Amino acid sequence: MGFRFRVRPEGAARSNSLLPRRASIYPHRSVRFIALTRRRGVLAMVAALILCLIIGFNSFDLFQLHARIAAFFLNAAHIPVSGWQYVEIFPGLGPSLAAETSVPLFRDLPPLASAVFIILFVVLLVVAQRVALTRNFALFLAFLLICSAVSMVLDPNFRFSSSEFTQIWLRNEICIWMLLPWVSVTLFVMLQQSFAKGLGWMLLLETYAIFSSALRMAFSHAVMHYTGMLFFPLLWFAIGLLSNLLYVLLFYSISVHRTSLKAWGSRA
Amino acid sequence: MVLLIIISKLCLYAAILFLALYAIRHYIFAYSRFSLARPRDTMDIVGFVMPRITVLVPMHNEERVAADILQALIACDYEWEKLQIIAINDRSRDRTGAIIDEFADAYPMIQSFHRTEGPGGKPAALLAASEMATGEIVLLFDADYYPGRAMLKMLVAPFADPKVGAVMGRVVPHNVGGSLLAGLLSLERAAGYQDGQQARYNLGLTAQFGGTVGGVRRTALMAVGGWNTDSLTEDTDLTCRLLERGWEVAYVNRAECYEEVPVAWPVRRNQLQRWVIGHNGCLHRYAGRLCRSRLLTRWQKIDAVFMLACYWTAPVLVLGWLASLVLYFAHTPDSWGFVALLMFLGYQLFANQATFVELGVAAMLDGSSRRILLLPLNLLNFFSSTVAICNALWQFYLRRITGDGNQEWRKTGRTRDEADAGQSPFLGGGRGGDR
Repeated sequence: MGFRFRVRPEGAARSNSLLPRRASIYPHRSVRFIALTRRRGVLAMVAALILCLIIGFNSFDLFQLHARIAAFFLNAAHIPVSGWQYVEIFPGLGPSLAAETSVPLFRDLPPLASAVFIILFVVLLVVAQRVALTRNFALFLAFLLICSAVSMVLDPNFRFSSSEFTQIWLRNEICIWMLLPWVSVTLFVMLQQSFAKGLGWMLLLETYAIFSSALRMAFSHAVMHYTGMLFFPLLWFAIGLLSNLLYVLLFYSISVHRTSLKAWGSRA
Repeated sequence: MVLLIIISKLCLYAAILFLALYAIRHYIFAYSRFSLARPRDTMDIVGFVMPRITVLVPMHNEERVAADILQALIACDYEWEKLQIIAINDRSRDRTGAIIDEFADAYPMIQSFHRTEGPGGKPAALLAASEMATGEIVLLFDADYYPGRAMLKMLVAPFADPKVGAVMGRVVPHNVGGSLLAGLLSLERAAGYQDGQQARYNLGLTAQFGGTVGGVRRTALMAVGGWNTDSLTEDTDLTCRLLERGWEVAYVNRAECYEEVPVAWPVRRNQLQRWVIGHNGCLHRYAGRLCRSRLLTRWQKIDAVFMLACYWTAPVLVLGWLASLVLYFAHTPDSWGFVALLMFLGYQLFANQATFVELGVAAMLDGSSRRILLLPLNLLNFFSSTVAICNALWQFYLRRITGDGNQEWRKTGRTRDEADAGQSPFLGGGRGGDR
């Protein structure tokens, strides 16, 4: 083991061009084309308000569309739907059609459900043990599983029907859909080089939110059809809340990536 | 059940309010960086202000990195006659002392200072070495840093303004490819400096002296009582005392210095723990004093309190999560109405996104276009940090309650390979900004 350093010869020029410097250290031409003006801010807010109102006034139609997409995925997954019924979401925000699928009670669960539960629990513990960065996250998911199992044992008759689950799900989602335009103002419209592009991202995010919500809800229905309420808290958190945060971040990172490429060109 | 719902509601609304204020602050900082107004900087006078300076480099078991930092400081284009470098060997048990001595023998401006007794930790080492300092300005670098060639001139320039008591440069991680964590931390660092520090400086708020890649005016240091050896974050402590006495802390974004960020979570957790405990100690010591200071503006006082209480966002966030979990599963129409749900989800989206907006803006300013794609994975870091911060705060208050005030200084572990010891990873050609 040793160390190396160079002693500068007497009289040698004091320079070291090899010392660390980044190729570029400060934006000069890069981001000044983003016109972060008051006018753009006001226009963005107006756009968000209009989209929010459109969603609010057309919530019934959106719920119908959502139900249709969910039905498509349920059919594709061969989940038997015994019927459809209207569930109230919020007063003034139209009822929605909810698929009726069977949700077994804890005592009726097939052994496979318990096996999946145990395997998932073990996998989470292994991940927590092996990957330090994910430890707390994996343990939290495992904690949710344990909470679920304990509540099942304490109250074996506890369950939400599929229509009740749809109601809980859509209450969350309609709020998300109405908030997303405002989130888009801060994440996209204000930070894109062109206002139109920002609006494009806003609409894209909204469309994706509705589509992915139907897919995630159908997936949750399918899981509940086979495993009852065993994974309910996990579905609510991971497939619901966290997924929403995750896709917003994903869209944001892609938009920043593209804007940055545009701004910095070949240097990026 | 009713009582639980009422308590949960109160907790959730309090959390929403608290975090919304922080979110607003983050949004202001992020957007202000896109303002067309020219950022405050002193680049125009770099090289015209060349007082005598002392550079302190505290080292404790730093044989892997000691030669790099000293070599880099020697290569800086600052007049050698006005430069004093004090390399502090703080009770090292490895070859750090020998490396320092070898440099001190070769270069007249380097003085070795071997510390063999007294309390441990960086503040104590700085306090002892400061007595040897002869420069008007005292600059500091941690041993794992790589100052660029013009670094010293850039850091000294803001001291032309007599109001400036301390200056902070920008820290840029060089080992971003070391691990996923290192990549995520580099995004955080960029947000903290490119966005947070510069925005606070531009807006005339309270930029923070970070204890490395920065400097302090020696007269100001003496006027506020020197380094506080009782604090785990002597830099935040000094910032507060300077602000309280009316000194300004300047920030130089172009003074980029390269550092190692932790590549393993246990190392990061220890670092975070030290910061949280030290920072929170400063909150208790200085929040009231700063608020009462007549030398700060109203906004500076507010920003200073926000800065000191920043780690409190983690437990408040957890409180909000727990409260919302209770309210969600209580599932009664009156307990979880449309407005309440909208507020909860709004706070989840807007408050959490605020920090991510800062990350994105900093990446955009830096041109880190590929690295920003890691952003969704930062949720893992966010989650782990939240738990680590809560744990550190718990330890802090437990120690206060039990009267065990002694906090142990734990050095952040280095990850530089032994094969690379004594050689900058940049030698042989620098790379672009998006490593």
